[in-house]
Amino acid sequence: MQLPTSLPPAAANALPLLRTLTLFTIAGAAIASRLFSVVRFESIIHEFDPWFNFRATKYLVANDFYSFLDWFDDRTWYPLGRVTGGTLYPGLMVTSALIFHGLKALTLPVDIRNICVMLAPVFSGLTAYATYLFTREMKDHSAGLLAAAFIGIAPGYISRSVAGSYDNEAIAITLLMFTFYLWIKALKLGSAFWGALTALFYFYMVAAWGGYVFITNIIPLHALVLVIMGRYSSRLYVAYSSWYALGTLASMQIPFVGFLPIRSSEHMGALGVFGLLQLVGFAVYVRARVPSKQFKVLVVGSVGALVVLGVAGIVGLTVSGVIAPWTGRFYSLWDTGYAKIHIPIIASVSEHQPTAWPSFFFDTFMLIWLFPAGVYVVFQELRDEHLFVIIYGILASYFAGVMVRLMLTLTPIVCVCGAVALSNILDIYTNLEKPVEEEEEKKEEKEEASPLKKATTSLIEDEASILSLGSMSKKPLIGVYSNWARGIVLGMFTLYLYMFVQHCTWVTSNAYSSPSVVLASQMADGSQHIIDDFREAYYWLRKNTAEDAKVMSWWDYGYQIGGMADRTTLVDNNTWNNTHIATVGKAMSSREEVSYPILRKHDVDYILVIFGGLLGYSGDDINKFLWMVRIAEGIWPEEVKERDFFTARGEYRVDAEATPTMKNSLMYKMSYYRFADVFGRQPAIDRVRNQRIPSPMQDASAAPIELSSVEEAFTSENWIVRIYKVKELDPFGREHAAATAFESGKKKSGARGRTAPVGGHAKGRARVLRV
Amino acid sequence: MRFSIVASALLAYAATVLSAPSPSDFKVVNMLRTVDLMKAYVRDSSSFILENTSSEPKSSFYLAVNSSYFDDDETTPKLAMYEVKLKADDASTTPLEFEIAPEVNEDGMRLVEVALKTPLEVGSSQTIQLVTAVVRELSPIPKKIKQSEPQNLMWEGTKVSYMPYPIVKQRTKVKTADRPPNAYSKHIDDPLVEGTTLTYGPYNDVEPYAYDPILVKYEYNIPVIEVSKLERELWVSHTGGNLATEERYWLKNAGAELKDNFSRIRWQASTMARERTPALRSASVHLRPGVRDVYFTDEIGNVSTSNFRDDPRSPIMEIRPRYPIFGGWNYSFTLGWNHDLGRSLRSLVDSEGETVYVLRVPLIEGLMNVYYNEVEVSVVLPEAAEILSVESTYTDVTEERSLLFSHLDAVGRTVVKLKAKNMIDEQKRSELYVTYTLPSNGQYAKPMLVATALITVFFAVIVLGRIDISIGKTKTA
Repeated sequence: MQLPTSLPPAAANALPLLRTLTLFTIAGAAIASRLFSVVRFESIIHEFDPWFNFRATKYLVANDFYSFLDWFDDRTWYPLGRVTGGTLYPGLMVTSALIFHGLKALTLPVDIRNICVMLAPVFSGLTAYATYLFTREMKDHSAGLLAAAFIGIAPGYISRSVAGSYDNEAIAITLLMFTFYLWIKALKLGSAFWGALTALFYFYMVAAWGGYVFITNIIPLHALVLVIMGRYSSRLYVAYSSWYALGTLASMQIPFVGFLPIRSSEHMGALGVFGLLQLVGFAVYVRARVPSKQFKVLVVGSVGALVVLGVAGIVGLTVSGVIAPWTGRFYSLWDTGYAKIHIPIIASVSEHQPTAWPSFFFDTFMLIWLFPAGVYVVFQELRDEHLFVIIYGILASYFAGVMVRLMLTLTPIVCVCGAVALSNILDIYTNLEKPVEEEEEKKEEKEEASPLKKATTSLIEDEASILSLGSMSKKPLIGVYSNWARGIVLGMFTLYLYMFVQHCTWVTSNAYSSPSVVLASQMADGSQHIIDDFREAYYWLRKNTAEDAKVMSWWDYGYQIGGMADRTTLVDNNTWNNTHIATVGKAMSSREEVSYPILRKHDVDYILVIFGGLLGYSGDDINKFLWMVRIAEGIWPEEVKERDFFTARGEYRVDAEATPTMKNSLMYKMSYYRFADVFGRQPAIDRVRNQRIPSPMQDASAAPIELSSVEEAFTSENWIVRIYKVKELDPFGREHAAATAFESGKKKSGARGRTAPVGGHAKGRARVLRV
Repeated sequence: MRFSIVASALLAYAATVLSAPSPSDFKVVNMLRTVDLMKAYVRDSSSFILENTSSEPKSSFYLAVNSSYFDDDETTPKLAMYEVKLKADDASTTPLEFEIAPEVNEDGMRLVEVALKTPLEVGSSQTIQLVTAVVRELSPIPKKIKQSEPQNLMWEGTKVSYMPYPIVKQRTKVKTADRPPNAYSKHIDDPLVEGTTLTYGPYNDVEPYAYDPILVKYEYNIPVIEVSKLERELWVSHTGGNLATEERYWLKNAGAELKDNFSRIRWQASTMARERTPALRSASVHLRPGVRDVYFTDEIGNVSTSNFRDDPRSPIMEIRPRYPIFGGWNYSFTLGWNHDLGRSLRSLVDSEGETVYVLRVPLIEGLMNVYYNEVEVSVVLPEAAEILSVESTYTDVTEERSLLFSHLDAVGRTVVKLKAKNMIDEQKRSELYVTYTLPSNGQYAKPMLVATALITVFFAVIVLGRIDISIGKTKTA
């Protein structure tokens, strides 16, 4: 903000202190608003991926850094294992481990879990600071403070950074903003020092998140646009070259990244711009020494040759395979239908779906309409750094539209632009200087002083004229400078800001603060009841199964089983091996006789399924079942067919009309095994799908679900998690189905001999009541 | 405190060889023995009148204990409690010293020499009380049961007490929980069954060293909880006026295992019908009054299924494990709470004018009807405290001391760790006394250290902030 000249020097001196205090308050608010889940539930790691990160962090804390990088994890992807140290971004874990060891050196007893839980909120405080710095470079201090406040509570960012959301994004957004700030700083000053700092933070970002590619492309794009616009300068050359050279070398130190920066297509842009800058720099150098006529010839000739050479080189290297071709995930960024057709496993993840329009509003509220205004404002001035904001804004908007999760990268720039726009409005409307007379002249003076002000003033003027309707006319006190206009505009924005805070708090509290490991429900008296089935079952696995037991489940639960149950899994959320996942899908979607050999081959001891039918928990395996089928069908089109799981009318049903393939699939059987018994003589209703499950007690023709090759080992309190134990091979070499039939036949005949005809299940019931 | 191994072996040898018990020395006039099978372990208590029948005053007598209580497990013997007491006429008791001989006789027993405080005159008699507790001695019969079946335990013991002296009259009572035993050793109309009590005897004029084994099988629909390890930590904070306690349990249901797998639907039915079950559904922990901030967690976070009843006289924490613990299943959890320190700490000024603090805490608290294989109790004293003495009413402990640095400590805080094996819930009564002083010079170390560190940082920042590291002249934009 341009300081009002009337401010006494003492007050002006106090401003930095006030700013610092404001920033601390903003950081405090950012942290506090992320603590809903801790207050409401407990200090717990959320969702799925964070459980892996947490487990890896514990490994890093228990071992040293190099053994962490060399970590081969034989407890996942059984029997393949995973070269974990070489296939993860270690930034997050290293950050937590450093904090842990730092606190330990200070002899402060803090549990590593609490560090992991609180990491995201604390870094969001830093993000607010980084955004402040970044926006300050764009406009001024007050815009910076506004941006910091916005990013602190914007739901789009909170969604990935609540306490317990221990994921790469938690620190990546902070690093993203710091890197961008440093880049702008380096570009402004043309300083190799700041360029090196940019490289340092870029390195940290590479170590922390796969989304670093965003930086790898946006900075070159910025540089390219500057060159094309004829804004090449030695400052650009110094900043870019120092960032690119150091940053690329540094990023190659991360095992997972390795030689990608010089081999993959995603990184070619940065390399190309680097080369271009050298050429431009050279050309500028030569032009200063060569007469202009020869120079023209030289430029035309060399540019032509270079373009031909460069294109040929890249095409040649791509064809020969030195440069990796574009990956599927990349294609799905341009064609939203691509994944659905070619890679079902990417499409099956909800956060990879295209964004629905309301979620833009949901995640950024009023900022989404301040965003274009902010872009417009920076367009008016269009300094070098403003171009960056525009490019970032355009790219991020596109990506956020393609994938829900990329809403995250859009949020910072929306906050920055929103803050610039709002701060601009506030600047104008809080300026107390009142040109009572000579209105026109003064305005003209202002216009000359700043083109930015000019634009907005006229903009505001229009707005004000609409507000004050026809009564504006010629009276000097009605119009932009009237206290009424000021009051109305400021009042409106105060109201908007208030609503913004309300909205952010509401969204955070209601949408983004559920750990999803623990579910909450309301009791009849309004008190909160915790549904803790996941941990119940995982803890049972942890305590009561063999240390080396192998647990098969759909990949969603792999990380949680590894983290909470500490057992070996077949597939997990890393999803690097589609075939292995398809194998699990096939085992789940096939008949028992087909599945059993698969289970045996993979040494599976337990199978874990999630079943929400009793409680109405919709994220269960039956609802995910079609993805299992689709992924399995991708590998074995002859054996698993999606069509077989739909009724003749094309419905997905689990009741009496379900197709035989459905009813005989292992997943169906394991989900509904003995489910109907809970209801006794009442109809057995699946509360998720609202369908009636065939119940033998109601309907004599419905045969009870029988499992022959697996047996129920544990079912959680609300039946959400069901664990089955895979039977050993039959000692007499029989098929399991035959053995089960033989056993039950014997039992039945025995029972018939003693008592009146009683079915197997009724017998069990009688036994219960006897004790 | 104890003799060296060689000395004690020699002494034991001398004791057995030189003064082997002579059956004519004493006679047991009236022996009443009660075997309590209502808990997860066997509590065997006897009370008898010992009369000196020799020709000279005796200063010691002998008892015997089954050698299988020792060599069952290398690390933890089964014998959890062995107390011999002298009962005076006014019903007050004094504990007696005893020594268990290493030799095992042909009946598989080891002799115990008990020293009397005052020699027993010829012809006079004394009332002696003997209490033993044996863990892991009850075995489920059958070893595996179905989920809905009742659990049966088997106790193997003797009809009369194994004594090196003649017993004039003995009666043995076997008490079981809520149901009469369903199978037991029987001889005509011996024993007498009254409710849940079996009374064997009375037997008259039993020979010395008589050995008559009996078996009792009884229904026990209560979980047999074995705590394989308990770690208990008490933090004393003078500045906060707080005594924080945290207990970490690793436990197991040592009862009959499940024959088939666990069936949730059957469990729901039995819960609905409020059936008694050998699976641990929930447990009540009685805490001392004035308890605050009780928490119940396990390795993966808070266990929401707990209920704290803040009764001012006897607060109860009702804990429910994440899942019912059936026979053979394991569980581990952490239970913690806070107390005002004032309730457990007394201070007094000694002759030199220095304040001496006495901390009195229970050695163990927590669960009822359990036994512990291994117990570790740590007391973390305030920083720079100097320990004067550590005493426990439960004497069979080993003590370790170490130094812990925590919360920006400068000189560290002393940790006293007491390790014990084979404890039973009854030993909750045991108390631990730690006497210490807080020398005033140690109290300033921490603030000084923190202040110095902060000043150093500030100065470093001031100095570094004035160093110009730019190359060439700094241009202002």
